[in-house]
Amino acid sequence: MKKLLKPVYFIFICLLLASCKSTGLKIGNLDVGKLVEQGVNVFNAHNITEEQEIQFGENMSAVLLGTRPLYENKDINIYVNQVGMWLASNSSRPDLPWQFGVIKSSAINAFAAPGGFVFITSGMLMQLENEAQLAAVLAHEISHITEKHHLNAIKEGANRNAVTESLFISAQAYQDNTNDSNQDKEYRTWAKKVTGMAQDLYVKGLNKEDEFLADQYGIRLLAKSGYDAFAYIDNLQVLASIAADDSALALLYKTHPTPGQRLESLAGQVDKLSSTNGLLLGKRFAQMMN
Amino acid sequence: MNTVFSSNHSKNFTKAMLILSIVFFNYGVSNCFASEESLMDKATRTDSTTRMGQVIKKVNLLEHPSYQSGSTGSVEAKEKVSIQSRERAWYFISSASLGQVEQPSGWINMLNVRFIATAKREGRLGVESLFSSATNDSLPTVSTGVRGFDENDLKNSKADLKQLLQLNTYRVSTGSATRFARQGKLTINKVKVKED
Repeated sequence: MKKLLKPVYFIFICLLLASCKSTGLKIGNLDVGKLVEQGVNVFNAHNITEEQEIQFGENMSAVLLGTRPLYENKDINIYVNQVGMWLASNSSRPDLPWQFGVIKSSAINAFAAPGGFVFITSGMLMQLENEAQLAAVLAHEISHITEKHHLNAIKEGANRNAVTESLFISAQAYQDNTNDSNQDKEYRTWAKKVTGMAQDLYVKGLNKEDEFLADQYGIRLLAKSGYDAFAYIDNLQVLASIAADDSALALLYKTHPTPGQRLESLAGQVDKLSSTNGLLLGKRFAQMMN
Repeated sequence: MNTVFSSNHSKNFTKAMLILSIVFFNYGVSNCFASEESLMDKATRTDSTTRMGQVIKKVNLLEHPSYQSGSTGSVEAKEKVSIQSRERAWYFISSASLGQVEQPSGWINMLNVRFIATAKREGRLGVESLFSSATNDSLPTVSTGVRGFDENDLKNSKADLKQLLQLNTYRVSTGSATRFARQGKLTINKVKVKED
């Protein structure tokens, strides 16, 4: 409840300031007066608190889950959470409220949202043969989150103008703190802003350099966590072997460098990790999937 | 890593398959048994998935999975190979070219190979056409009502807060994940995720 109240205070203050047309006022690191005047929340990712980051991630995740629901099997979802949490605990941000989910879709893809939200599609899961390969997919997404790649993306280019404070406020807060007559209208406003940004990020994807960096950190996180690091390469090999015009890969190819490019960029890491030992855990994975 | 080859049954089966594949590729008898012995040694400690691949550039075949190892021959760029096993970043491959009799197998760095592309699955529901086991109810099967989502699906999406609550019910603690890792005998390696 406490978590919900802070952003609510923030939006009330923003609304108050909007009516006063104030300028030059600041709340924390945000120049609220300027934001109100411009009608947009132009910000630097470094100004976003962890709480705001998590809230933005929740909002983005809600949009993603609005596209396709979670796969219903509780055991598989918890298994993916166990693997993901083990990796995350070895990452540079172990204290985020990490949550992992399997999205019911034949698309072959995985997604991350700020603040610790990671998703893998059931289509991607079915491509995998062992736990190390699952961990490889999750490690890539975890790296996007630890490096705040989505927050960096919304700092860039056209995204900046689409940023508003509402991205960092929960739908629940809107629903709980607007009067009955305004509730629907306010919620629709929130939903429109949040979904617009989430759609933009997921459709356009991150920049290629961030994808390559997530590969580099991902394979090293995999190795650090005791998995066979080269399962990461296996995954990319499998993706590279699926016909490029396969519809299941359409969005992945639109938003990522090709698997061939990613394999080439990992050559240095493969050499550096050449002597590490790790496990595949194929049996545990097979037991869980059966 | 060793699970597939952990039983004698698996070893015998693999042995038989390897002999058959070598005969199929028209190898000499003496060479056949030499290669089979070598493969079995490697196979007991490697991933066993056999796939067809294509070499992306001319590379030497090595006797052991190490650049310090001696060469047993070479394969040309674009040559098709059968990937028999993997050890760390190395594939043990045999040439799929029927004409190549001498030194047909050896180790190459896995980045020098690409798996051969599968046929396009015309408008299919993703992976179900690739995996017969997808009909198993306990697997994350793809129902006819759920297709892979794309750009348009995302653009038409509405936030689903109930699913978000559902997601939260699957969360696990760090302690639980650590116990899970211990059960799998996973240990932390001295690897820095962010290099200095």
